[in-house]
Amino acid sequence: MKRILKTISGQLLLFLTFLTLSTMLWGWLFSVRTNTTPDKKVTVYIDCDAVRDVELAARLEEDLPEGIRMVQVHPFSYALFDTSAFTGADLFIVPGSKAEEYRDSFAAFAVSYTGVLTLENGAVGIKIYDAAADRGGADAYITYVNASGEKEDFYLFYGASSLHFAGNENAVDNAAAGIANRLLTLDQGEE
Amino acid sequence: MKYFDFYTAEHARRLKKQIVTAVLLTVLIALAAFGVCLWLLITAGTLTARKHEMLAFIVNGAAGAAVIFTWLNVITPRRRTLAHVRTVLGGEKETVEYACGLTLAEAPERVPGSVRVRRVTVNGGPRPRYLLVLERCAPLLKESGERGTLTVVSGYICGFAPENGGGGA
Repeated sequence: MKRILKTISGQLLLFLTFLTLSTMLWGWLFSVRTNTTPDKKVTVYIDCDAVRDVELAARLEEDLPEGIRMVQVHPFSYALFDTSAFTGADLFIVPGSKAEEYRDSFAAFAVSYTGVLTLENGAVGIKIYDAAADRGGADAYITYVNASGEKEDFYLFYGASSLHFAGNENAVDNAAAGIANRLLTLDQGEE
Repeated sequence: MKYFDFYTAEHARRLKKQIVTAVLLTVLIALAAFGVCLWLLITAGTLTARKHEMLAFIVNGAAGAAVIFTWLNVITPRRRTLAHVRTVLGGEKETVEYACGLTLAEAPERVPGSVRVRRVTVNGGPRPRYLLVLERCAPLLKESGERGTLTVVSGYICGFAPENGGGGA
């Protein structure tokens, strides 16, 4: 019995080692396959956990701006352990009450129209969800509630380090504007 | 002389056939699993990536388990046994007489990288002689009796002839 247990535990250890290494290898291959360089993708971070991120990304990918191969949508919790992807994101959707907290990540630019949220550093947020009217862009994919579970106005910001916002010095194109426009105009309930 | 039917060319052929079948099967499983995982990887899109990745982990894990456990529990023991059988079949036979029975060790031992054996002490000579017997053949020595002759190849007992019909080791 002792011999059998020893044999089984030895083989199990080998199997677990194989499982760990192969899972890491396939995980890495899938991440390489389903990712691309920042200049070929637009990344959207949403400060809300109730996001159908995969479906929204697939919906936005139906009509990609030129030069863009994919759109990635993540809730803020995705960047818990890796903030580099967050700081380089192209678009942010955050509740109005938390906009100042993240203002350094948002691009500042001048606008000549009203109905926008301008932060202390000049970052401009475009209202994407109106809590009073209970209407917002892409609301079939995003449940616009804040951390307390209450409905609140949400704003769309461009990333300060975005490669796809023409207002930034390092921009390679203005693809984020195209994706922002799609987010704002995805009608209520539209899938 | 009563030879253990374990040491026959027929048994060696049977072992080789089992090994070849098991190796082919594990290679087939490994290749099929790799192919499925590769197909899942190539066809992964934005909507299907998570599902495909999970499926790849499951296929990979199941195939890995099948290959590892078959290799360790089916192929490796048979390969060791086959090597042992071939050594004995190709070795030079020696005759050893015993006069006061054989003493079989209680616990089996593993020859490193080879088969499991039991130590046998041959009593009755000017001094005791130590031999080995394959663990699965050890019960047969019960019929060896007090006196008789052993056939030994490379230190392994592969047959015996009791002087008067046997009756307990």
